[in-house]
Amino acid sequence: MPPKRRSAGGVTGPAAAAKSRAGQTTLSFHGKPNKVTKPAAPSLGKDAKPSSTASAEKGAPLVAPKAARLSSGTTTDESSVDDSALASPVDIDVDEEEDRDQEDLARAEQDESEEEDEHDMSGLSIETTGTAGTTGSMGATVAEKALLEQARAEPREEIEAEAEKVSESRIKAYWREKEKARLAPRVHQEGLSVHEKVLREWDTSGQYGPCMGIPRIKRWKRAYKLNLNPPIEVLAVLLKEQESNNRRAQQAYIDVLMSSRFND
Amino acid sequence: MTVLENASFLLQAPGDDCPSLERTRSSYNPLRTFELPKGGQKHYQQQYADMYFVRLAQLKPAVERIAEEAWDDFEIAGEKARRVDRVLDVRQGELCWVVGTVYMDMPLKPNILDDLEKEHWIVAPPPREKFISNGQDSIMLEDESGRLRLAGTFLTSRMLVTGCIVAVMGTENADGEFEVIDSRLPDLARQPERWERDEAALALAGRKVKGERQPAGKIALVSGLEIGGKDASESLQLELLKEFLLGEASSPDEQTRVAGISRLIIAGNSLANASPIPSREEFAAMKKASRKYGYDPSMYNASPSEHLDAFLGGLLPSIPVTLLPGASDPANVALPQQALHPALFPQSRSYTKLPTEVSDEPAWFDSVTNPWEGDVDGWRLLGTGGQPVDDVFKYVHSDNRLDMMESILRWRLNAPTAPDTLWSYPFQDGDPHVIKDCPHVYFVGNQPRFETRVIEGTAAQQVRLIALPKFCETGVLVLLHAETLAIECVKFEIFRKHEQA
Repeated sequence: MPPKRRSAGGVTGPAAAAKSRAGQTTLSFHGKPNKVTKPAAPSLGKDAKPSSTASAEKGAPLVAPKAARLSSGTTTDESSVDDSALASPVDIDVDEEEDRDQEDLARAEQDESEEEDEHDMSGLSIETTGTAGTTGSMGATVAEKALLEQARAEPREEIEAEAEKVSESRIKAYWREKEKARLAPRVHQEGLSVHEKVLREWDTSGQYGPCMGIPRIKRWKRAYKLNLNPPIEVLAVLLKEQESNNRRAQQAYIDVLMSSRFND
Repeated sequence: MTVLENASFLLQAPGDDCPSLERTRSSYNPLRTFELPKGGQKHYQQQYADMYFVRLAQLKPAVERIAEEAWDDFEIAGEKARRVDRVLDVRQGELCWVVGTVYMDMPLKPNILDDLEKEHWIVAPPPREKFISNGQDSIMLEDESGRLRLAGTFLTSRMLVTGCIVAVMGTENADGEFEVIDSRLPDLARQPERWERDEAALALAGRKVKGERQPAGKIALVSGLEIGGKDASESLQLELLKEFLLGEASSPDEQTRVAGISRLIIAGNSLANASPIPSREEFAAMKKASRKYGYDPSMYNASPSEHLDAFLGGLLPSIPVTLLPGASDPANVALPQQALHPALFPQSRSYTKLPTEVSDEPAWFDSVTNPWEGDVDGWRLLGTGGQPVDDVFKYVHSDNRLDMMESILRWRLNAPTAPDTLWSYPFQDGDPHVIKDCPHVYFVGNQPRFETRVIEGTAAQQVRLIALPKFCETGVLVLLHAETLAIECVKFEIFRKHEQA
């Protein structure tokens, strides 16, 4: 894989990175990102959506168990997290750290330092499912980072607000309709949740375009803008998955498989 | 050759009673349709399938509407044509119509495998002008669901290239091919009124719409200056052009006419391809010859861009210039080519906008993208440096460039063969090559001849097509009268006494 490019004027090294992180934090005095006190409840409706901070993730509770995670195995970079407590990008890094620990990837430190380097705009770090080799994982990180940078926070639209109102029962009813349309039940989907099944059906619906190389939510928004009438239940599921910080669900399942680190 | 009827103005003593003329102002409002985000915000993770999908999704509604109007009451032997959603849903023996993207399967199309063949054979095959083969080309219609081979003699009457969106009506025959009886194109898009954008902007700003506007002047169009090429007489031709545009070169009545020229648009190829990328063998030879490691600054010849800069710097104090990059200019290879950087023009730089300046006012010297869309004197102009038309030329039987330009507008695609055979940025959200508003003037640079035509659309659209020839070869400058959209040509020739045998 070609070596990862530094972003123009990017920072290198943990110290410089910490400085830049502190300098780049955009504070907004409304909305979720600055709730430091306790883990916020996932769905706060319309009013809690951040509109200005570029680094804020859409609707994600950024303060998910931050205090607890700080004590878990962290790198030297993480130690500066205490200082910039209000820095929302760092929160996501912490979450990232948690996810990665859970997934038992030994690349945490290396990825952290990489992510410091490319910290310019997106506070959203990416779960690395890159290949086992060093350059491989760096390349995959860049790719996925780029992918998810594309789906960064944009001003909330009414359609998202509408999707927030869709209830779980409505999603289940939608799925039941889909299953009734088939002659035989779907096989090999016994262990999946309804959300996952809905999202996989979304991936394979070709009329909304190819599902690879584009995050699911971006694909939905694109289909909506092109007046293809994508089902709003899918957006509801995607927003719910986003709120529960399910990073796997942001990308199409086939995309995840094709860029898996076990793929060579 | 002009004969000066009244040469007495040259035989006068210098006087003080010459009126100083003022150039007509140019009303200019460019669009940023083809500007790409800079630096790290450009992503290349996506595939071109997204671009084709978006193109089809954007044009399908328009084509469907036209096809429905045309074929709603179409009947053959009592059977009505019905619309089919996906390309693979056509059934044998059933009369139906479907919309999809055209794919031309041409065996002679440039293939990456040819490059590999070059390594095995001593002599590379000669470059072809056209990549059409007789009888082996097949046309297919493609969709998200699949591909359908098209057959029938009807298709030979239509100009089609890979990437156009068409609606075809017919039936599937026993071979599994779709026999085409009729087809429809998206045709010309909606044409905005003259001054529509400016008036809309004024209305939004809450100001009164201008009732009276100044009479517009003329727009000068030129392309293919090709500075830095081998021919040294080009500099004299350029000087003549500069003097003409500045009004220094002619009689007082000619000068009053020149004062009407309000803007110069240079449509591509201002710098000649003087130092092309060396092939592998040449590069190896060069490496062996030079003993310097790394970048050798003596290899770069700055004089062509200095010459262009001097040319523009002489013109800019008097006339605003819009510069489009072309195939041989130092801009990116893939369409849409981004603007030539102001760093190339040390003298003319003061007339451009700073890259960090985010104001809406266009600069006096506007270095723009290729292709480019903008409002000049109220009219919507669309222009390219010639690469899309040249590429379409390679894949159709016809030689008529104006026909190709007309087809480009009727397909509503600025670069139909992108990304198949023309390099393009992989757009994911929307294909800016789709022509949303039909222009009033469509100019294409670097064509072999000067040609022009007016085409009409079904909704009373009228477009003036202009194919600009290369200035270094023909010396032609085209003047477009902005009030009437009439064309005037000025030709610059140098009298060569001793012609080369």
